[in-house]
Amino acid sequence: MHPKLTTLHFHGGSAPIGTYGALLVLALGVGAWLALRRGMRAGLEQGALISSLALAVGGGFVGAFGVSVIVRWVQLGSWLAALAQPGIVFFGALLGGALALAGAARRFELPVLVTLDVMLPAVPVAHAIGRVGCFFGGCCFGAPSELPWAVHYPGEAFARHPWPLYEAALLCVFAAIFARPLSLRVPGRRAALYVMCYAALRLLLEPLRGDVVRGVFWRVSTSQLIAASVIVGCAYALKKLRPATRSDFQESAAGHGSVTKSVTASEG
Amino acid sequence: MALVSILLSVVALLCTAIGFFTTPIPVLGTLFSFGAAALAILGVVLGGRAVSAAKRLGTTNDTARIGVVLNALALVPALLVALTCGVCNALFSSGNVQVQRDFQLNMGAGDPDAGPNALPPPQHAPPAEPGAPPPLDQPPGTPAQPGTPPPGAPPQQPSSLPPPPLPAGPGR
Repeated sequence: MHPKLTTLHFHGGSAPIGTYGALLVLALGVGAWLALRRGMRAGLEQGALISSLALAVGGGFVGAFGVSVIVRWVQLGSWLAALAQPGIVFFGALLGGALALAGAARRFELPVLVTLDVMLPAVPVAHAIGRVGCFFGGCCFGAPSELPWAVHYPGEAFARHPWPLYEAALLCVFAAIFARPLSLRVPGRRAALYVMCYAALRLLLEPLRGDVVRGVFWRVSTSQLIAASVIVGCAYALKKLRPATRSDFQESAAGHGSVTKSVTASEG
Repeated sequence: MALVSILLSVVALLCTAIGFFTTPIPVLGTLFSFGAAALAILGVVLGGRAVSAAKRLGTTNDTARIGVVLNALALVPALLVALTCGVCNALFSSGNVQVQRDFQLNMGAGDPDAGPNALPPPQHAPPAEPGAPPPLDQPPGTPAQPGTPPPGAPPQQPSSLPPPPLPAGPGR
C-alpha cells in the first residue's frame, strides 16, 4: 500500500498527489489511446471517435458516482449523507460509459455496435491499471487470509487477500482474449460477451472481498446483485443480436471503408 | 468550434487551479474541481467535432487537433484535483460531523502510511481456516467503520478545517 505518490509544495502549504488518482488518470489515458488506435484501424472516423470517447469518459464518471450515491442512499436513507460520501462503482462506470458511447456513436453517425466491439479491449486494460491503483490506495481490500501471498494493511494484525491484484490479473487475461482480431459477423456480440464474462468474474471473486462498505443486502453484496442482473441482461442481448447483413453495414458504416471491407470479408 | 475548444482547455486549467486552492471553502472547491474536468471533457468533444468538420470540409485540422491535445492535457490535472481536492471538499461541504470525523480517522492522522479508504478496525479474528467465507454476513447496510486509533492513543478531536486532501481511493 502506497496511497501517497508525491506531495506538491507551494507557497504556504502542500498537497499530496494520491497514487490511486494518478493511476486512474493513467488508466484513462492508456484506455483512450488503445480505443482510439483500434477504432482508427477499423476505419472509424477519427473526429467522431475522439468525441465519442470523451463522452464515454464523462458518462463513465457520472455512472460511477451515480450508482455509488444510489447505493449509499439506500444504505443511509439520506441523499445528503450519500452525496457526502462519494465513491466510484465500476459497474456504474461500465453502464454509464457504454450508454454514453452508444449515444455518441449514434449521434456522430458511427455504427454503434461495431464501435462498442472495436473499443472493448481497452476497457479491461484500463480497468486492470485502475485496480492496481486500488491496491496502492488501500481500497477494495480482500477478506482475511493466511495464504502466503496475503498482504498486511497498516494497522491490522492479520493479512488479507490482495483482491485488486486478483482482479487485475484476470482482467489482463480478458484483455488478451478479447483483443483477438475482430470478427464483425454479429456486431455487439463481443461487447455483450465481455460484459457478461466480467459480471461472472465479479460474482466469483466477490466472496473474497473484505469491505462491507459497498453495501450488503440479504447477505449478497451490491456488486453481486448488479452482476447477476447484468448477466441476465447480456444473455438476453446475445439472444437478440442477429448476424449483420451486408445492407446493415452499407447503411451504418457509410464512409468508413475499412469497417465495410472487414465485414464483407467476414461474411465471405 | 476548434477555437472554442482551445478556449475551454484554458478555462479548464484555470478552474483546476481555482479548485485546488479553494479546497477548504465548502461547495466552491467541489464546483471548481469537478467543473474543470467537465469542461476539459467538453473541450475534447468539441475538438473532435472540429476534426470531423475539418475533414468534411477538406480544410486543415491543425487548430482542432491542438484543441483536442490541450483539453486532454488539461483533463489530467483536472481529474487529479477532482479526485483529491474535489472529493475532500464534497465531504466537508456536507456538514456531517460524523462523516468528517470518520474521514479524518480514515486519513490516518498520525499514521503517514495509512490508506485513504475505510479499513475496518482489526475487529475480525483471522478465519479459522484459510478458505473461510468472507465477512459478508454482517448486518445488511452496515457501513464500514473507519480505522480506530491505536489503544492508548489520545482521542482525536475533529477540527474545523479539512485535513490535507488525499485521494478517496473509492473504487469498488
